[in-house]
Amino acid sequence: MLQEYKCPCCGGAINFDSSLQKMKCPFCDTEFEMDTLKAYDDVLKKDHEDEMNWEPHSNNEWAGNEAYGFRTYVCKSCGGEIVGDETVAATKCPYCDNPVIMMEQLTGFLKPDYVIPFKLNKKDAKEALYNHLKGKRLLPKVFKSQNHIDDIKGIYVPYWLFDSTVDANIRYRATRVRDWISGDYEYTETSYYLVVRDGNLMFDNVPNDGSVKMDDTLMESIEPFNFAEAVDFQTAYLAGYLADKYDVSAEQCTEKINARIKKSTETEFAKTVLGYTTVVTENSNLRLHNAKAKYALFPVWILNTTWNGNHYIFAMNGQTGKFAGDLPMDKSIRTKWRLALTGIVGVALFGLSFLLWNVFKWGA
Amino acid sequence: MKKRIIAIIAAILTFALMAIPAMALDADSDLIYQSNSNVYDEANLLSSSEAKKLSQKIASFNQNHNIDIVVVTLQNLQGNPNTFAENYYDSHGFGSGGSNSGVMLLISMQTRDWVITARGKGLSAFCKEGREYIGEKIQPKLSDGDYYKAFDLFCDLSEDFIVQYENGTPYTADNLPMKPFPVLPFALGSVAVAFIISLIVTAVMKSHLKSVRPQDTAKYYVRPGSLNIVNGYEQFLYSNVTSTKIRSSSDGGGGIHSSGSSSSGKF
Repeated sequence: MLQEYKCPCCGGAINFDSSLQKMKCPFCDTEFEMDTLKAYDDVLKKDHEDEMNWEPHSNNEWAGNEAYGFRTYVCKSCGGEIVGDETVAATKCPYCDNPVIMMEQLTGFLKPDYVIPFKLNKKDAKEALYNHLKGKRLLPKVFKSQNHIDDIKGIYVPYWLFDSTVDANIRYRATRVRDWISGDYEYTETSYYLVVRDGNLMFDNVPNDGSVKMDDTLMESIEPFNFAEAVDFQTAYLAGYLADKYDVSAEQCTEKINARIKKSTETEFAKTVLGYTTVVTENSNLRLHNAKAKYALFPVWILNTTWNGNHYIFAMNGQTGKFAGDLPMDKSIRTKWRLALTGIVGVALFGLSFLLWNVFKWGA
Repeated sequence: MKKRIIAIIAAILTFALMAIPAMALDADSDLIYQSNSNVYDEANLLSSSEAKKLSQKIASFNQNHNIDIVVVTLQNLQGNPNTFAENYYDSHGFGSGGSNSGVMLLISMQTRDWVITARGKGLSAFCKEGREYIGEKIQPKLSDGDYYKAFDLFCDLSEDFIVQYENGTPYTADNLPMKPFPVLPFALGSVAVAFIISLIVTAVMKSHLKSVRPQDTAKYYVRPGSLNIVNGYEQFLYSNVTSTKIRSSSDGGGGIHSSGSSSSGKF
């Protein structure tokens, strides 16, 4: 069988150069030892597709009349659905701020495995918003004063938590750079290395929110939750709060979760590749073991405000207090800042250059 | 037959055209030597029109002042450039008045030396620092081969030094001439730089308004200490060597040597 090797430098098919007694790439002229190419080829042959499959989540059934007394609130405007006990007076939809909410019989609310109880209250959320608005120089001045918080709701957001052991074979392309001076020339030698790392790594409770209505990026912004404080789910924790129904299945989240796990695995493994100038991941094969998804409710404070006809939504991690939410910008304030800075810095620079010219004899 | 006539005429014309500049140059260089005693272009660095322009400029200045300006180019010089230049100045009887007051720029092409020599009142007008100052100014132009520009600048600077001396305030080490502060370029530059800074600062302020960002790693959820590398190795593949020429420091100003009445350096 004819063995064809690929050039590690440019990827072209490579030939044996009889005069050099070495392999030489006809495209990029790089020379290689035969053994190097053989070893490189062996590693390349090991490449295969990632095997990142997750076991299906086994549904946790409600026991007895546990679910009794829960109602589903449906917003007729945006279609959002939340769950609460009968005592919750949900007067506005937490997603779209629409006041018309219908109460319906509870259906299709899956019993969660875990819950992290709220640690911070409504007052903390208001204070966090106040702090969030502080020091934002381009925020419209009236936003702080005119802005009234339409609604603050503590919501248990459904999360899928993914656990897995990852087996990985990762190939890095690393370089080492050496400089030296000889005569009138400075030489730079870049050596290219193939670095291989095989091993395993464990991930616990990688979260992904299971609600279509909750903005995924907003929910990712208030991560991480500390799962050590999670407890087995009890309906009692829901009293006084709303709970979102999951409408994204665990399977639908796996693509995002796999990407996050893959990236972190590559980064963690790369920390063991030391002594190089650059390290770039060339290829990684991941296989998951004991890959399971759990269903949990995490506490989130949602704050809705309206300003200038626009709707702003903020979220606070109900456990750690991490706050997120994009704010509007006042373009006229930005223009004023630009003009003021250009003026002040410009005069300062001009004065400084005048000084340097005369005192430090730039003009001499 | 016609062709041959055309060929002969063409040959004559070509010859004539080649001869004209050579004749003109001869005539002109004679002219310089005869009519002027301030530009001695023995190394032939200037075109005839340049030499004429330069010597006219110097002549009109020398007429009204009693410190003469002289420019000399040589193919070569022997020995210490400063001593050589001083002897050259004295033996050619440059300068005006009883003390032979004057200032001379002499350059030697083979040794690539420039020397500025001052004599008589010239010594008071051109202090050591002043000569070095002028040398530093003209040296880059000499290095680039812009000889005419270098000589022209030498004349301008020398005139300034002489006028300053005649006004009773000669340039000294603490008080070398300064160019006027270029207001417009610096004003425009300052505003441009300040505007770019303002854009950067407002961009940072704007970024503070944004706090919703996706997570694309699972770094918070790695079980601590669970990383287990079972197999790891490195394999050298290939290497490239690139070279860049170092700009040697002698390309720059270089050392300037000053003696009693001369300063010299390399270009």
